[in-house]
Amino acid sequence: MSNSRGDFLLALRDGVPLGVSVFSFGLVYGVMALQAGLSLTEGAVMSLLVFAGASQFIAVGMIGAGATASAIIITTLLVNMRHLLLGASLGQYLRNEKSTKLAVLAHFLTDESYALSILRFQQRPATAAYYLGAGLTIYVTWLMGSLLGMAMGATITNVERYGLDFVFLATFIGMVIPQIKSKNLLVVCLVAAVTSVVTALLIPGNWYIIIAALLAAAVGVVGEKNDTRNISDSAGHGHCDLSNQSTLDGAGGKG
Amino acid sequence: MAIVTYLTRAPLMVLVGKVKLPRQLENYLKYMPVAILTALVAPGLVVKDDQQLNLTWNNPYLPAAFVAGLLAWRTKNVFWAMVSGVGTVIVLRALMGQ
Repeated sequence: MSNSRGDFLLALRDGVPLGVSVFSFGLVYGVMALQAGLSLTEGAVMSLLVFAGASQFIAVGMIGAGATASAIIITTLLVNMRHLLLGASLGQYLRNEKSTKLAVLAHFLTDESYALSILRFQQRPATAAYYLGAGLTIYVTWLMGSLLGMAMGATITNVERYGLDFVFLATFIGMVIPQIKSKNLLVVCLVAAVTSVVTALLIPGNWYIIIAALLAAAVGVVGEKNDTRNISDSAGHGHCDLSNQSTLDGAGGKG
Repeated sequence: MAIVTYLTRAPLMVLVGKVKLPRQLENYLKYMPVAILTALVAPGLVVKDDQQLNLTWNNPYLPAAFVAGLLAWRTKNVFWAMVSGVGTVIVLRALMGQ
């Protein structure tokens, strides 16, 4: 019989390094949320309920730019789509748990908690306790970072002097670059970059994000097919491998 | 937003084992993060608010993006990429007297 409590504590310990990155990431989010005009409550609630770093960053950026609610929701959906994969992948290990319990646990699914859990589950018996420990560690550090960031953000008035208008972009560059692990992914990135810029110049609003993303991802799939000699094995997962890296959104891809 | 995000988390985690995403869909979603994040960043670097291109030397974002990218590539750490990028912007702006 697996030791639930032991696993839970083990996850807390394993989760510390990632937790630290997530915390600093949360700080950035907090400051940005404030800059975008969110109140302390709004920003905190978003971290509490959404708990998906990349999408929260994106949403906050879009709110600041005055995007429509539907555009934000669609973009959130697209960015967090990978949770479907993370959930499916992890769900196979936790299939013996009750559905209601899984439904609650699902809220803590992020790239980080996924990475922590999947690595462990591949070597030891999977327990919901471990996953919960991992998820909570990330959740708490994320919340703490967000709140502190929002509190600090209020004291920063001259945004540009501190280069804070660039925080969002710099963070995302930091998240994307390590993800480019193959020539195909590089192509996807370039296509997305060019398409988004061209679309942004031609079509007003934030549709360039969705259009460029849908197109670039499609290019990725085509590119993969063209590498006929390619790996058919690592398919299946398609999750962002963040076990060695600092955080990608709260949800990987995080988000 | 929370609802939508939760909907990406819960359903499959609970249902999986019964439902398997079509392989093509899985492959497609695999590229989504890189695609979306890039689509987010690129225009932010070179497109000004009035939908004009800004590739002039006055744009501190370009060199800063290069620095951030370099740090990201080397350290694979979001934090350092962020700090170096922002730092570059601060320095450039100070130098340009903005």
